[in-house]
Amino acid sequence: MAVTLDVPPGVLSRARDAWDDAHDQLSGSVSRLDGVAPAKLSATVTAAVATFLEVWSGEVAVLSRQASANALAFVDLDGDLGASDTAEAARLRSLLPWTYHAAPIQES
Amino acid sequence: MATVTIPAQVPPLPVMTSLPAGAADLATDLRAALVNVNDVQDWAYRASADAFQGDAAEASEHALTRFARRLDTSEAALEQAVLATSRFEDRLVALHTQWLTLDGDRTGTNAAIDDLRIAVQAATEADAPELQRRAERLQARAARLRADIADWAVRYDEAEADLVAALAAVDTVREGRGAAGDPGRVDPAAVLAGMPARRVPARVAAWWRSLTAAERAALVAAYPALIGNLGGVPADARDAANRAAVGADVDELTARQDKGEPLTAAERDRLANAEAVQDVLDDYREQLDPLTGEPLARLTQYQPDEHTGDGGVALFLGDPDHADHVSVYVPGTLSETGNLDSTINNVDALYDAAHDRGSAAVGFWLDYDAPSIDGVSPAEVWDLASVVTPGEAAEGGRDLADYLDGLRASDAGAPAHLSLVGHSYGATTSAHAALDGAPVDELVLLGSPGSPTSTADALTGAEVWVGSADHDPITLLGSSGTLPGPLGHDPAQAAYGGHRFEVDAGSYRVQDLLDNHSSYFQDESLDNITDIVTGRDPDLVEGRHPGGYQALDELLVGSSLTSGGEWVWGVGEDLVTGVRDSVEGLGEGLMGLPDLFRPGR
Repeated sequence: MAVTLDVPPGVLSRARDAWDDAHDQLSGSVSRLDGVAPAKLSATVTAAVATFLEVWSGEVAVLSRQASANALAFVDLDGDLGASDTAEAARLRSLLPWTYHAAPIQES
Repeated sequence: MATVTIPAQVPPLPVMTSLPAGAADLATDLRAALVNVNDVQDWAYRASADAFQGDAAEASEHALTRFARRLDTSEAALEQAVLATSRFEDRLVALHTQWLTLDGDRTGTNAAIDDLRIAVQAATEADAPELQRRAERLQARAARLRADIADWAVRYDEAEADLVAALAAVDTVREGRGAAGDPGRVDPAAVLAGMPARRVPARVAAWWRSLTAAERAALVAAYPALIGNLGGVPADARDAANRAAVGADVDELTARQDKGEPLTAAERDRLANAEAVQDVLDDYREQLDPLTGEPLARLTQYQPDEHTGDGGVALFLGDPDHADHVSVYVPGTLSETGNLDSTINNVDALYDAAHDRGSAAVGFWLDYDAPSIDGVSPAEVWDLASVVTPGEAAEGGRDLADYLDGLRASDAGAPAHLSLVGHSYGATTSAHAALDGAPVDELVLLGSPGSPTSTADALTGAEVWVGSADHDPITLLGSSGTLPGPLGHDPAQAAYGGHRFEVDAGSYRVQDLLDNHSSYFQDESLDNITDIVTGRDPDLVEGRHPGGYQALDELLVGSSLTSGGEWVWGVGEDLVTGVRDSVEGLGEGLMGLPDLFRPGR
């Protein structure tokens, strides 16, 4: 059984590229936050900065990994989702822009 | 003898363990991270249900919408941190300046106390009443100073405590969600909508002054490419925006490279430009403004994709908005963002010299398509002229004039004494900027291959100063008569009417001729340029008179013969005829003026 998602040509590859770009940019942000080495700041300030960075570098890293996984979900897809069931197809559809949130999913 | 009570010495001020430069570096890192988070969140939001006002229940099932909402919490937290760190930096700058003042007062007061002690030791009984009055005045002065120092310490502690509290207020994801939903959160798009439709620098400056600190910080983080290059915005804000953009470019493109993803040619150019600018900023990281403690370098323009990949960049040493004397240097051929070494060296030399004479800021502007020609030899000077036309100089001149308008508009306090210093093709570009109404007081043309007008008066109302070495072949490309050379008229001609100042004539060896063209930021030439940009009179020399100097063909042949004739034999027979043919060809090819162009006499 194959599952197809009725979206215009190119939508899936554009989604993959957009998620991939999101991953790259968020990875860059994580590297930046992880690389902050406070200098010329007091110990009190440095400690507050470290706490802040730990939380938000971690949070952005989670989102960066999500973006990467979302990009990978579209790799090798070209119209035919190759999904095994409609639930998987719906999950992929929810990674597309909201414009396509009601795109029909069909089993054949 | 009557007792004289000598006041105790005022103890040293507390050491500033947090410094403006530390806060500036932290703010730059946070902004750079925020720029990329911002970009992604902007994409995710525009593609999400929130942007389309989707049904709430359905939207909650939409993964991309959930992603956008979650990322918004990180964005909000980073925004808060950037704003708090920026405020902290501003407060530290003020505290640093006050620290210097208080420390100076302390030194003076303690010296006066020491003097009193010595006077008391040598005093007679009759001196006692006067010495006691002096001691009481010093006691009051020391007491006021101690109180001021205590106040300062309180304000310093408050500044640190406020930053720590601001960071602690958003150091959990839950608090980030609260910040994201805060109704008082600044919407940068709404703020930007208030920007004057016509971006006239004076109007932009007035609009910028009307914004709150939070609104400014939000614009810098949300639109770094716009704010960093927007005339009328203060140099400090442009610097913050551009540093964030540089950092974000390096971060994103390096992440892609590290992943093994091939970059396009345009992306490779962008990364190379960003890394070159970052290297310069890193080189100046430890150089601080002695008065404010802020980083000395300010990046006032960053356009990494411009000029077919060469990029556009402008940078200052010092603060152009507050310095009394501001100079902008425009480099010429061979200059591009990825190759800033010689440009920086020249700016560095002029800044050091000018700063010794007062309040000065010296920068460079390289945001035009400077001709890129590698490995030019003296024999190829003619070829250089044949591929270099005034088109880029004219176009660059318009942008340069706009940039200078922006500097004028963001200037704080009394208008600065503003000098434009162009070298080589940059001199031609600077002359075009002057012709377009660049608001400068002094125009300095170094090694100029040509100016668009035949006289200084026709060019500008500013004072025009010309540094042209006798043995610099590039300066001999400009015409001496009423008809223009390939890049215009020779401004070193006496008939041009500029002030020609003294520079070293340069070596007369043919292999050194192009070095002569690159030697203006040295020795007496540098001294004279420094005089001009700091409002003093340089040492002047006579302008060129037809028949009174060697024209280009004579210089090439004469210097080659003096050097052993190697180049002459290498070039081939009938050199002079060949050179003259080339000149005439230039005239035809570039200006449509067959047989009329003849440099020198």
